[in-house]
Amino acid sequence: MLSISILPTDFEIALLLGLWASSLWMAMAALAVAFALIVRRSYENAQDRRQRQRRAELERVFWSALGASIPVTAESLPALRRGDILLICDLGLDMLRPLRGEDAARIVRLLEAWPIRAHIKRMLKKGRRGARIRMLTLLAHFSDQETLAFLREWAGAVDFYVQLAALRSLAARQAVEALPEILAHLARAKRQNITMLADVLRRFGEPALEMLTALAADRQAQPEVRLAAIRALDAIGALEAVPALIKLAADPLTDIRAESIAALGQLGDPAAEAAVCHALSDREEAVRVRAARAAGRLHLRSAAPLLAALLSDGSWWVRFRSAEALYEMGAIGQSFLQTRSKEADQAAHIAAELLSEMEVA
Amino acid sequence: MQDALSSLHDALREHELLIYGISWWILGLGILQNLIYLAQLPAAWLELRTYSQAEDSESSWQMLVSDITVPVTLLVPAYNEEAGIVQNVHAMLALEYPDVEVIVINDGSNDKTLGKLIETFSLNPVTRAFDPAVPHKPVRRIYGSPLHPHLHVIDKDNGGKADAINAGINFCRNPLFCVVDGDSLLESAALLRAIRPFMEDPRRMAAVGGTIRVANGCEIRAGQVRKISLSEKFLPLVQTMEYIRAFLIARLALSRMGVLTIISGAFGIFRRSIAVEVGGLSPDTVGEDFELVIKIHRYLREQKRDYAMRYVPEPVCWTEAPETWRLLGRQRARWSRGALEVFFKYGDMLLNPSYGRIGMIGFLYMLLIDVLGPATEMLGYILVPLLCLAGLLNIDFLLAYMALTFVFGMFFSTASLVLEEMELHRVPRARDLLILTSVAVLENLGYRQINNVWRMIGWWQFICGNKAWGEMKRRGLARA
Repeated sequence: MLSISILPTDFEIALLLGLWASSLWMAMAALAVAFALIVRRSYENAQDRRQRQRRAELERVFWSALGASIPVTAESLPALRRGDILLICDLGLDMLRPLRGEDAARIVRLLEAWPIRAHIKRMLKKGRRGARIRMLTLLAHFSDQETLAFLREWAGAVDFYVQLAALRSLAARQAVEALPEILAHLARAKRQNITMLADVLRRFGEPALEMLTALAADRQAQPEVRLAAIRALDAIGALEAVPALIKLAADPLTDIRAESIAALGQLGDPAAEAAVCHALSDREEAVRVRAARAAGRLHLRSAAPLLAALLSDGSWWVRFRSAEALYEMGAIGQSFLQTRSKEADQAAHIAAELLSEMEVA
Repeated sequence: MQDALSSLHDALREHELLIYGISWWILGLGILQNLIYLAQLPAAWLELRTYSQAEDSESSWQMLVSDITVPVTLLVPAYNEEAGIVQNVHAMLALEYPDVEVIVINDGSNDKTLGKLIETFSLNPVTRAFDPAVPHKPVRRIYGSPLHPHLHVIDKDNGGKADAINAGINFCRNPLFCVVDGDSLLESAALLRAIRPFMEDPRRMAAVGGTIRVANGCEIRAGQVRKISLSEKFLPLVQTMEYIRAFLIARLALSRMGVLTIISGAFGIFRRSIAVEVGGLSPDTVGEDFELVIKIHRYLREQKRDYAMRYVPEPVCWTEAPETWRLLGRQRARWSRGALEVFFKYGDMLLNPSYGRIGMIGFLYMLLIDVLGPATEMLGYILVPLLCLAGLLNIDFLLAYMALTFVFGMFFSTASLVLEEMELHRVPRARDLLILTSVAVLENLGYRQINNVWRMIGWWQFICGNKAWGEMKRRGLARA
């Protein structure tokens, strides 16, 4: 055996042994956990198969109960096995999804014949995020005060997606009276999803117009929530929102101005003419682009000179949307584009491109 | 043998200090790398816990049926993809997303890619005004489909993948675009899931990356993965494990730390306006996806703009993994070369406080893992056993080095699998989990070392200034 010339110090030996031992222990521990998970998965897969089978049986019960000519009572339903309530709730939710009116009401009555409330309460309290969201979504189809109280309570959930599920169900139940407290909860939310929030808010419909316009105008509120309120106003489509949107078109925040102008274009009220024309000269590209689109949608002939000037804007998108808007105005706009396209500048180029695209289309 | 070792021992004795230094450098870097990996595990777990969509299919469903949405353009660069392009476009048109436009960019293919698209989708030449915001090779013709108004095909001169994506960016009319490889398949709900960070943080979110998984072995029909299974071949299997580790741990952890430096070119969503501001993708690098992300970080940091990038683990894009050693080696060498190109191109960001976490953490991570990692590990494989045999290093040193490379590697791969099973449940059968656990152990004994050789080849190609992509033969996912 050769002699070792670089003798490690005690510290180095301890470090080297520590590396070896700790790596080995970590690897063994990870492998042990992996094997435990494999065994668990094997058990869960077997359970899943049994649950799928049971779900199919319960689905048959649902259909036959729904088709029965006499009202269903708890006594007339088959005895429940362990784990059935969870399946019933999931099944009920899946069946309710495409249904409205009396069909949905019959499924809810059938669900009520089983002791599902205790399960819903338990899942809301102890379930994981996905289970909570599903339970809250299911409650949209109920109509009693107890479940309404659950929803109002969960409208203040810390998890934003759980909160959204509760809000969505409150909207489905047209609980407009809950809006002030909902808005208070939203103001405190740490996380947002503007698109989903807008979708939820628009489901409250016209009865919520007043509160939504107030929210959109509230400069103390989070900009994300204000944007969601404007999108909701746009999606609700009520012309009563136009005066408020016109005011918002002069907001100091670019996003708010742009979103309001876009909404005014969608709502199609000629009363927005002055606001849209003014927005065509906005300093921000995002606002000018939306204003040009809105002018096209509203067929604002008074905006034509401004749109013609915007064909030479520094932004391609402003030029393109202005050309599009002129085209949408009909014969006058189109003939202007024809004439302009024969020249040799930036405006002529976009006019020619737009005409070419529209003609081929 | 004994004589040879004795003479080596005598020859090296004079350089004891150098040997001592090199040995501890090799070990030290290994320790540092493993500490980084160790820190990534809890970070990845926390990120998963905070943003997990795994159990929340309900919110995605509500988004699908909503009237209010965020429009997205799918950009599909395709070069000689005749084997699978039609099926992939069908799959993209059938995605569960309320407002999606598909733009396929035929990058001067010399096979029947364009012909197959024209025939299948009854494409006609159309005119489409476009914003010439980023440069690219000339467009020959644009096609539209009367059958699918949301489908457009751009036929252009060959200029590489980055050039093709640049053309797509110019023709894109939505605020967000998603790059998907022509040989990959998006899961039907992938976009719905991947878009969520843009909805949560619309003002700051610049880019979002999704997960890439290996489709080899899966049952694919009508452009959709119908049954998830593992391949029976070793190479796709080991790549399945690698992808789980790379995406589920590394990217999630980097995303958590706010230093996401790469979003895969096979599936990433970007804000168009920002991609335009940075001048699009650079066609002069093989790591164009990596480069774009770093370029965005650099630009936004220099502009002092508040921004975010996220990796979302749930949306999945399925890709065909190479099944031969030759093709896999070529791919890995190219990836390594791409990482080096980007690192040295933006090297001034390293430990530069003006680039915040990206410079201080992201680039340091790249230096330790991508730049120094392969060469040091390779040196360790050769030197440590040799010096031990020559009696110049203690046996404890050899054991520690083996623990760092082989045993810790097994731990890290198995831990990734554990996290995947605990949080995502994407491996469908217990049997598959068992196979992957075995792969997690075995990949460290041989495959890891070969992979390191490929990475060194990438280093060599980088030094030689090789810019070629190399041919990647695909069989098409239908038969994967």
